[in-house]
Amino acid sequence: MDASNPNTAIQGAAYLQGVILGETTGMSPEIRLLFNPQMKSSFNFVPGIMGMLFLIISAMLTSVAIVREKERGSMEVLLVSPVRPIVIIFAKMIPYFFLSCANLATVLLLSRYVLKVPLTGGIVSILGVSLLYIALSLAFGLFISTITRSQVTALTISAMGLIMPSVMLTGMLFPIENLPRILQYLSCVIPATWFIDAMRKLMIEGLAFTLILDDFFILLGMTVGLIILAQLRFNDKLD
Amino acid sequence: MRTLGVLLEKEFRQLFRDPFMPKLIVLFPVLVMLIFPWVATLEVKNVRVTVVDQDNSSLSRLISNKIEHSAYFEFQEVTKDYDRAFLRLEEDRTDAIVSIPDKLEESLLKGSPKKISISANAVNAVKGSVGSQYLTHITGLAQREFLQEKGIQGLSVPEVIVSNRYNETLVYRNYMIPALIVMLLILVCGFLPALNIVNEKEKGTIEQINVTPVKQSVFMLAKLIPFWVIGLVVVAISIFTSFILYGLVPSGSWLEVFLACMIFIIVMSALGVVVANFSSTLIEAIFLMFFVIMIFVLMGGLLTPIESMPEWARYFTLILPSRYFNTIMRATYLKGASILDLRLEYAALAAFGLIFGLLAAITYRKRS
Repeated sequence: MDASNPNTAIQGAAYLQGVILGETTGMSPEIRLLFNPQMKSSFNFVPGIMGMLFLIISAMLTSVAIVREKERGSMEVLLVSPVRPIVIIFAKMIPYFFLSCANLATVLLLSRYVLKVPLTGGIVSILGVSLLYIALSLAFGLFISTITRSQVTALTISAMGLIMPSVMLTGMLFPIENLPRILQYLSCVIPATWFIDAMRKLMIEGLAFTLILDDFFILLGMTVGLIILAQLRFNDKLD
Repeated sequence: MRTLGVLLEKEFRQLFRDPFMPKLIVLFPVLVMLIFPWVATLEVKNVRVTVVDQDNSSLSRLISNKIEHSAYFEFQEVTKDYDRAFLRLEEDRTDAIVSIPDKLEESLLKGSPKKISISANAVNAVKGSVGSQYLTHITGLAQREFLQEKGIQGLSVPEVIVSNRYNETLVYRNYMIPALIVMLLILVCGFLPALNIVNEKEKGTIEQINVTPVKQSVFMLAKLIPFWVIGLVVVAISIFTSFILYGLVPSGSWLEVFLACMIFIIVMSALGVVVANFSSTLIEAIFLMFFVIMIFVLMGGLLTPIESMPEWARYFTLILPSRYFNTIMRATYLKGASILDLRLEYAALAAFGLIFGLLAAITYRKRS
C-alpha cells in the first residue's frame, strides 16, 4: 500500500480484505448507505461551498465599506451629519444584501439543476436560513471594517484570514467530530459551521425546519451580536 | 541595476510601514501550522453505532461486545426494534446500524450464514464508507473468532497482512503539512502583491513611477522580489514550526524543497501582478484573485485527491500550477523523491513561472 494518503490506504486495504474474506468464507455482510446512496461527495460539498462563499464574499464586500470612506475622508461628512450610527450600519448593509441575494439564487439554481442536489427540506426554509446567514456575513464584514485602518488590512483579514478557517474548521471537508476537543470549541465560533450543519439537514436529509431551530437561533444571535459590536466600535471612532 | 536597488528599498519600506505586515508574515504561518495539521484529518473515529439484535445468541453478543470495545466506535445501544434504531439514525443520534438477523448463529453453524446488514448514514461520504468498512471487518472478525471457539475448522480463513509504505505510522498530519505550506504560499504570494499594486493605483502613488524613465520589467522585478523574500520566510517559518511541533522534516533534500518554493512563488506573485494590472479598485482585484485562489486550493489536489475527481476535472487540473507544486512538495517531503523523479512537474512549474512573468511585464501599462 502507498500510504502517503492514509485514508486511501486504509480504505483500499479494508476493501481488499473484505473481498478476500467474502470470497473464501461467505461471511461478508450486506451494506446499505442511506441518504446518499451513490456516495456522491458533491452533495455533501454543496452546503460547505455555500457556507464558505457567502461568508467570504459578503464579508469582503462590506469589510471595505466603512474603511474606504475613512481612507478617502468622505466619512467626515457622514459623521458631522445627525445620522445615527446604527442607521449608517444598516444603510451600508442593505445594498450588498440585495447583491448577495442574486448570488444565492445562482448557487441554488446551479445546485438544483446542474448538481441535482435534492433540496428536499423546502425552499422557504432554505431561503430563510441562507438570507439570515448572508446578513450575518455582511455584519461580520462591517465589524472588520470598523476595527481596521486601511482597505488592504481589511481585505487581508476578510479574504486571506477567513479562507483557511472556513475551509478547514467548519465540517466542510473534515468532519467536526474528528477534531480535537479544543478545535471543536473553536469551530463553534465560526458562523459557517452552523450554517453548513443546517443546510445539510435541509438540502440533503430533507429534515423539517423545526429540527434545525438550534442552528437558526445561534445564527440569529450571532447576527445581532455582530451588528451591536459593529455599532459600538463605530461609536469609538467618532472622535 | 542601481535603479533596481533603489526601487527595492522603496518597496521594502512601503511594505513594512504597515505594522500589520510583519505580524502577518510571522504569525500567519505559525498559527496555520499550529492549528490546521490537527484539523486536516480524514481519519474516521467515533462512529456512533446502534446494534439491532434479533438473534440474541452468544454470537450476536460477541459482535456487540466487540463493537463496544473498539476504539473506532461509540457504542450507542442494543435494541430489538429496527424502526427505533432507524429513527435514531434520522435524528442524527447514531451514524450506523448493525442489524443481526434472527437465527444468525444457527445458520452460521450450519455453514450457510445469513447476512448481517449494515446501514450507514452516508451524507458524510467518507465517514459512511470508512465506517461501514470497519464494521464489516469487525463483524467478520467476530464470526471467525466464534467459529474457532466452537472448534470448527471447516472454514480456513486466510490471513491478510497489510504493509503501509512511505507514511508507516499512517499519520494524516504528515500528509497534510506539505499541502498546508502550498496553501500558505498560494494565499500570501497571491493576495499580497495584487493588493499592494492596486493600492498604489488607488492612492495614485503609482503615477510617480510612471512618469520616471524606469523600465516596465525593472519595476515589475522590484515589485516581485520583496514577495519572493516574504514567501521564502513564510516557508522557512512553517518548516521550522512543523519540525518543532510534529518532528516532521523533509525526507528529500531541503534545497529541492526551497527550489520548488522559489519557482512557485514566482508563479503566484506574477499571477497576482497580472490580476492587479487588470483591475482598478481593490475590491475588483480581490474578487478576481479570490476566484483564482479558490480554484487553486480546492482543485489542486491539496485537500481532496485528484484521482477521485470526475474526468473533466482531472484534465482541468493539468492547467493548475498548484497541482504540480503540491505533487512536488508531497513527494519530496514524504517519499524523498528527487528533482530527477519530478522533472516533469518542475518543468511544468517553470513554464508557468515564465508565462505569468512575461504576462505581468506585458500587461503593465504606464499610461491608463
